Amino acid sequence: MSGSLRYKNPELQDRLASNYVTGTLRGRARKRMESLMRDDSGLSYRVRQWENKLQSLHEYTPELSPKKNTLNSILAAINGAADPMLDSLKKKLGFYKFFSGFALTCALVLAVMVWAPVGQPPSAAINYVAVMKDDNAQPTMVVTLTQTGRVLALDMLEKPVLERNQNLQLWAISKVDGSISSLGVIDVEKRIEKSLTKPQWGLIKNAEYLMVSVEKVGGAGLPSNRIVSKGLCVKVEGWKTETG
Amino acid sequence: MSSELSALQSADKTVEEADHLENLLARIALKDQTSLQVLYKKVASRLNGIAMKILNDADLSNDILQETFLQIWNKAGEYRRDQSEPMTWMTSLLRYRALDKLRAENREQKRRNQYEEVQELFGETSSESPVAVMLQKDADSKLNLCLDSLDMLNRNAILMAYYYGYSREDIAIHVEQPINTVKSWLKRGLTRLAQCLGH
Repeated sequence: MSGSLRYKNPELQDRLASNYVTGTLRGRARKRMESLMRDDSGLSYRVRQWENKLQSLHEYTPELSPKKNTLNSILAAINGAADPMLDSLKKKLGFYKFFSGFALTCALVLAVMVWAPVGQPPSAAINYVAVMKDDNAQPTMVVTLTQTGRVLALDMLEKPVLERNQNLQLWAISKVDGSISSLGVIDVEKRIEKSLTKPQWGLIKNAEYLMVSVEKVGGAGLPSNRIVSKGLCVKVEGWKTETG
Repeated sequence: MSSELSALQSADKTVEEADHLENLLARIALKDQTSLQVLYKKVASRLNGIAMKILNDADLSNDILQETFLQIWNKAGEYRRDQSEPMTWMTSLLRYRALDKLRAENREQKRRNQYEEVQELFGETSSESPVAVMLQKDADSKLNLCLDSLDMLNRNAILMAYYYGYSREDIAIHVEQPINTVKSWLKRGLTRLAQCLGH
């Protein structure tokens, strides 16, 4: 039986549909199934059947309020506007409000250039930026990373309030395996600069997110539940291309 | 008699709500942003709760919710009531995005720590998990009767995959059984479920 004819077998179709809907079909098999469904209305009908039958399992799933900013982000994306989070950052950095007529990209590139550590050679370009937000999607910290000298600079737009026996700790979350690694304890200052070791720079290169948590004095091996700020770690060139 | 009446009233309310959602989707297909906002207020918390069960991460479930609403905005014109109820259509969009996200974020390993709630499925004592509550409350529904007729291991494997987004590999690790055993539980369970549901 040829490949495409094989998929006309009702029993096989039903098995594929049930595996697709329950989610046990993963990766390439899932993509292959989606491609088959586009060409075979019978197969997509079976998928709809399974979806309809299993839907009532969600009837008592506890509701969870989305973050305050989610609807605004959706509307901004629909209207082709800038991300409200970036707008908010721009507002917080008073100087940049005068750039409202410029493209947002230009404003943030300027922002990271101005934040570059004083005394650093002019050729030292920012390589990574993370705009970190709190639980309400409000920007609270901006981290910039410069490969020359492996300099990490962190600007606190809002300083978290800590108890005497607490520290802030910075973490990198790997995009490769999701592992969380410490970048060390940080002080509560308006601006912090620190040099990273080579292994720490490696963590930055592989980082999907940076985040800051509240820990006991001296830091911890793993982050506590008190995450005060978290943001995507973006390679600047990549970010310029995407948003510019 | 009164329970029959209340069941009828509840069914009427469900149809009424589905009609309203269908109407909103039709307006969204015409690019009406006010309708999108109304829809969001009606269903976002429900959808976010479903995403959270699969992703177990508030940031990611919000990301998925946002992506799903953009997809609803772009695809509302493709929605057909004769194929699925509005909530089923939106839930499916969300679930499939969440499953893709699980893989893209390589989070499946981390999700193995989400034991407690899933463990309740396998417990002997009475369980408070939403799935267990649903199975108890809607004991007369066709789906629940069919799920109830399955072998417990087959049923729980299906629920872990569908409700919590566990892959076959994750289930195998969770229940400490070879993956082939899990595959056969799923295959047998889904085949019997299909027969019982009258596919």
